[in-house]
Amino acid sequence: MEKRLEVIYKENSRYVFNIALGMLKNRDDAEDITQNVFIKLFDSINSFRGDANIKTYLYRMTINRCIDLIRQRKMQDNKMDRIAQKNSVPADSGFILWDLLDKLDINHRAPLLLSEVGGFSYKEISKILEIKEGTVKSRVNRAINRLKDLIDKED
Amino acid sequence: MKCTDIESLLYDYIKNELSPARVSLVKRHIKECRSCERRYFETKGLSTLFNAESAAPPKKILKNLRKKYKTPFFPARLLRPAFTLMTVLMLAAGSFFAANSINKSKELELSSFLYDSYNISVEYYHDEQTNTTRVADFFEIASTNY
Repeated sequence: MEKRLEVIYKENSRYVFNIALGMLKNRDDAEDITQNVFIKLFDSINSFRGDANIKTYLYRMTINRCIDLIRQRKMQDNKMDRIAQKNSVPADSGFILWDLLDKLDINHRAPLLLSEVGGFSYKEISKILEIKEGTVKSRVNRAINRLKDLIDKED
Repeated sequence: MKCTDIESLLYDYIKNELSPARVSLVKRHIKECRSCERRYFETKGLSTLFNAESAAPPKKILKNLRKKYKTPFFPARLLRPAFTLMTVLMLAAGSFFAANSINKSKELELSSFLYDSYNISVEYYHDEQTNTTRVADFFEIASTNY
């Protein structure tokens, strides 16, 4: 594989995977999403001018694909499928963080994960999600407060 | 500033998303207010949780990507300089051989010239000899007659 592609993968794969994991709470789905977004990126890599554009595209695609998958799953009527998905927690997770994230609204979950896992600023998140910076700020804060409440209840 | 106001700013403060003026306000408040200080550490602790739960992506993703985007033995980006180098080498070799063959033909030319010159001089010598003989014959004949 070309060195440039390897570098892009190594710099971003952990964040992409964990954002997908946080969004989907399912390791297999997170793995599929991660692989697919990198394939989509590498197939069109020559059309990007700079690394900043690559990152924006990569994380936007990650979030959008996760949201699409969540909505797709929600539309499934089969109760057995829903139960199976609910039980598919990450194998190596010893903590309930991913369970708690699952209880957040997906519109709040996404900016929170981009902030906490991706380390993006509100400005960068607003570009990725194509929403106003003020909206990012309020959603992230709501997500954090909700998460704190859920953790307090767990205790 | 009230504690409820400070609490709403804690995450932004941790993420360096506040203006300098608000940073000072929050900093001063959490120094003085134990309750807000506790909330500050709880909020900060959430980031630690995210880091702790962070997992490395499965190795097979990279393996699959490497398989899909395998670089050819002679990648396209190296073709142009390689082709240029080959052309230069071929031209240099051609020039070398051409120069050699020019030198050889000049040698041949020189040799031919020398050979021809020798032959001409031999002929001339013989002619001279002949002429000398004729002159000598003439005087002999002349002296006989007189």
